[in-house]
Amino acid sequence: MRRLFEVRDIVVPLVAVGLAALLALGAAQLPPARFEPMGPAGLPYGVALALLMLSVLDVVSTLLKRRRSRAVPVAAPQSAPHAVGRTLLGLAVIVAYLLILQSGWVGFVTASAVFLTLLGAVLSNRLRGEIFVLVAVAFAVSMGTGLLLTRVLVVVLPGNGALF
Amino acid sequence: MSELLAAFGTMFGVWPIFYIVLGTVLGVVVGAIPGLGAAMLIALLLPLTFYMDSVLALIFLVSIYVGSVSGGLISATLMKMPGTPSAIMTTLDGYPMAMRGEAGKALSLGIFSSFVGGLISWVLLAVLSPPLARFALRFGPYEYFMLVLMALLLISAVSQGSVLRGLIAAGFGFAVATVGPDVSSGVHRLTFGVDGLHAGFRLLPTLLGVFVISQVIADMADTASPIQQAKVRFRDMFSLGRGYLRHSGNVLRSSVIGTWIGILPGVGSSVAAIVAYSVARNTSKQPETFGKGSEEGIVAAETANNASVNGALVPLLALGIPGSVVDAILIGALMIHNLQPGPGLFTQQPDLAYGIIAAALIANFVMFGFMLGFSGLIARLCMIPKGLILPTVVFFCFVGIYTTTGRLFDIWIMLAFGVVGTLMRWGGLSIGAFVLGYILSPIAESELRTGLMLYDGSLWPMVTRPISLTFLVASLAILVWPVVRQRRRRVEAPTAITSDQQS
Repeated sequence: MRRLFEVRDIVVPLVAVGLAALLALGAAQLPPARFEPMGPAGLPYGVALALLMLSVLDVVSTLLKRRRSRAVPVAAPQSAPHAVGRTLLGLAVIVAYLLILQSGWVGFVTASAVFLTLLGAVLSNRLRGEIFVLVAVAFAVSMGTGLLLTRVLVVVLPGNGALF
Repeated sequence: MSELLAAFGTMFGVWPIFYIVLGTVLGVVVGAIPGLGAAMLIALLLPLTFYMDSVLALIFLVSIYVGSVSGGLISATLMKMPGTPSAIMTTLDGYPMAMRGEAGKALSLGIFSSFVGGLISWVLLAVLSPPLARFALRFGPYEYFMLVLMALLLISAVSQGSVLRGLIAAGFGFAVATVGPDVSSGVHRLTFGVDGLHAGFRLLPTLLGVFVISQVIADMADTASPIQQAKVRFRDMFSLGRGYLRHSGNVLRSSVIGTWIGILPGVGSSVAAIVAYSVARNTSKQPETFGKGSEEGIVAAETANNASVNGALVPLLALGIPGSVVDAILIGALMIHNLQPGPGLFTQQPDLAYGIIAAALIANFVMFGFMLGFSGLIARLCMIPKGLILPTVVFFCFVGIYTTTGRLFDIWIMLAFGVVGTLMRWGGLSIGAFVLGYILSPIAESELRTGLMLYDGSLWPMVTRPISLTFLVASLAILVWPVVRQRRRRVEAPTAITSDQQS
């Protein structure tokens, strides 16, 4: 059986409506205009209204398009499962790196070198041939950046503030 | 004229030349690497410019812009992978030429065309910008508001997917920009009790998130194996000679098309290349060769995409309205350096405004020389595994954000916008429209509120003032045109079917 909507055709207007509701909710908490006609709530209300109208129009337009098209819609190309897994793993490495930096368990250079190596390994197509280069580049980039931040730009490093 | 000459004098100092060469070379190299583009590189390097003089920072970024649009042609020709979206049309003819052993010729055609397109459009930039800026000084708040509205409608109309989706993306950008302090009353809007959001969603985390992190996420999912690369010999790069002169008409026409499309607010170099390519095919004596290695195709696409860079600088410098997504980031760079984008730049910061114009020309020459001499080497750089490039890009995003804001909170925000950008790509929402909405929202709001105060809360002057009315009519035309075009197509389609059946 032919589907009436693609998933994205439902999600996009729904997100727009949700955002419009959030804007309206936030705008309702703002004080009224005092020195000029529009006030701080004017823009959020305006954008909320516009998003609401656009999402309704989007749904109507999608419905009309589907009704008009006689051909069976071609399914959107699906990402390979291992590509999705790799993306999620990559994101997990990034989040873990940020959490470790925030907690201050290890120093900036150590955390960064491990992060660069792990993310590189996740993204690499030929890991065996590249691993040594990966580790060397990761260490050089982390060390160089750490020294630049502490010695030249005099920035307090995140977490425990230590280099290692 | 004297200001422009003075700017050229300044640009030939050691540091300006250093940054122009560095920016152009970086731009060409990064532009050649598929998956990394001008917007990404400029967003990535924005934090670095914090520590630079504002004129040097801007000429550095503009040089990157010039370089990156040109660099896309290398991978498009040698690897069938456009380094930047603006090189998509070059791929159609560049790669077939390379496959039949004419890689050097294809590249040199593209490089010459990029150079000449850049030169012609630069003349228009230098001639048009100052008088347009003087004219724009007459604009009142409603004129500016309507101009912003027109720019948003234009980017939505030409962005990927439908106009509605483009407008929704721009609306998301507006919504994001709404968060933070209200300029007039000082109250914090829509922070929902999160202290970190008191300053709103800052420019850098937002831009780096939607441009860089979302692109990295997209590249993570791309598991395609490296593509076979065509070889190019150095001496082939100089094989064009006088034969190039037969493309003069095409070059001139594509330059004008590219510059004009660049000037239109919000429309970038990809559209310029597509339009110029289509016009070249329609007017060619050998349209059947297009897509199979046509020299005319390469010339049209490369001339137009480079011409659009200078064209896009016209509204940026004269009106403070971005001519493309990259220009939106450049406006962000101006704001970061506490400079007010708009016609006032020519009177208040002439060294900057004319400096940018001068730098665009010098960068064009640097691009020409560098690409002619090093295209083969740059092509080899494109083969660096993404396992090495992408983690470093992400790391420098983190470092850039942290050094400028000093808060890990902003890195989380950047990551969140990376996910938002990824979802927007999936949902068919234009990231360009989102960024333009985000950048233009404060300008639109401030002009509208000033207008309302000036005219006692009346919106009527939007219609009674001629310039404002012109922008309003143009905006309505942009909005209505796709609907009219669709209807006409629908009416024409059954007619064509009926006539086919009769015959």
